[in-house]
Amino acid sequence: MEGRIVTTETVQELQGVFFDDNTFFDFVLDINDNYFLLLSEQDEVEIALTEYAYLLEIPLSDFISKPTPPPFE
Amino acid sequence: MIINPYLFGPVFDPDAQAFITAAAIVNPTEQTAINTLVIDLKGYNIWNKTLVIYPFVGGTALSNSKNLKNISLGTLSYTTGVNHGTLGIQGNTVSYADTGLKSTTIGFTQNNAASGIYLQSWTLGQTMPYGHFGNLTMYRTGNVVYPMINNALNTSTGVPILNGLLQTSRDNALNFIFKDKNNAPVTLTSGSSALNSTLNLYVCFGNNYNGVNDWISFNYYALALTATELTNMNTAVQTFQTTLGRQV
Repeated sequence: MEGRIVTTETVQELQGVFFDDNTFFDFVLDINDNYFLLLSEQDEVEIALTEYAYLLEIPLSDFISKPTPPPFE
Repeated sequence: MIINPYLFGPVFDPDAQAFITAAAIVNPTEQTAINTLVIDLKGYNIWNKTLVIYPFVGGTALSNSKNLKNISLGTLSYTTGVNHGTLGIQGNTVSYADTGLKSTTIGFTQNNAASGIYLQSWTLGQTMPYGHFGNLTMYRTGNVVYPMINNALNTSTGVPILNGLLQTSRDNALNFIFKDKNNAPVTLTSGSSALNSTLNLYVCFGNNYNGVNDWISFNYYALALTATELTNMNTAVQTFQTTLGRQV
C-alpha cells in the first residue's frame, strides 16, 4: 500500500476535516511513526476539486502499518 | 384506476422508495433489488426487528452512506482511503466508515441483539470487518472466525472462515446463534457482557483494532433473530446480492 507522508502541522490542521459531504481526512501513523495520508481513487478525484489539491503533489511512499498484538493467542 | 408503469414508473414499497430517493439510486436493477429486499424482509417479519441496514448499493459515497431502515439515522461518514464500487465499500485495513452509532444507542440491549456482515472475501488474519473491538464484531485469526455479539472474544466459539453473509444473534445471557451462508445456524456458548458506551460502530474496521481490505456488500444490526429468521435473512440478502450480480 502506498500513501503520502505529511507533516504534523498538516495533521493538526486537517485531521477530521471533511473535504466533501461524506469524507474526512484521517492521517495514520506507520511503523516508523510517519503520518500518512492514504487515499482511495474517489478521494483523489474529490480532493483534486478542492483547496486541498496540493496534497496530491506529495510523492507516494510505501506504507507499513504498525503491528497490532493479537487480542488472544 | 390502472396506473401505467411505463408512464409513471414503478411503484415501490414506501420504505424502499425513501431509501432510493435519499441514496439517489437511479439504476432500475438496483431499485428493484432494494424493493425486493424490503418486501422480503417484511414478508419474513424481520423488517420490524432490524435497526440499521447498510445495503451498500449504488457505487457512490452518498448511496453507500444511507441506512435503509431509517434514512435519517446512522448515515455513514468515511475516512480517507475507503473505495466505493459495485461490490459495496472497501477499506485498506486502516480506513473505515463511521456509523456515528454506539452499541448503547443503536437500539438493542445486552441480551437482545443481532448483527450481520456480507463479505466478498476475508483475506487477512488478525482483522475485524465491522463493529468495535471488545464485544461486537467478528475476529479472524488463521482460518477461524470468532463471532462476538455482546460477548468477549472466546476461544471456544471459533468457526471456519467464510465469505458471504455471516450473522450472529443473542436472546439470552449464556449463548448466541451463529449463521453462515451455507450451514444451519449453530448455538455457541459465551456469556454476554455489557454494551460499550464509548466506541462508535465502524464498517471495514473493528473500532479500536484492525480492519479488512476486502469488499463489504451488506451490514446490519437488529434485535435478536431466531434461527429461522437468520436463515430467512440469509435468503433475502443472497437474493439481493444475486440481483446485483455480486453474490458469493
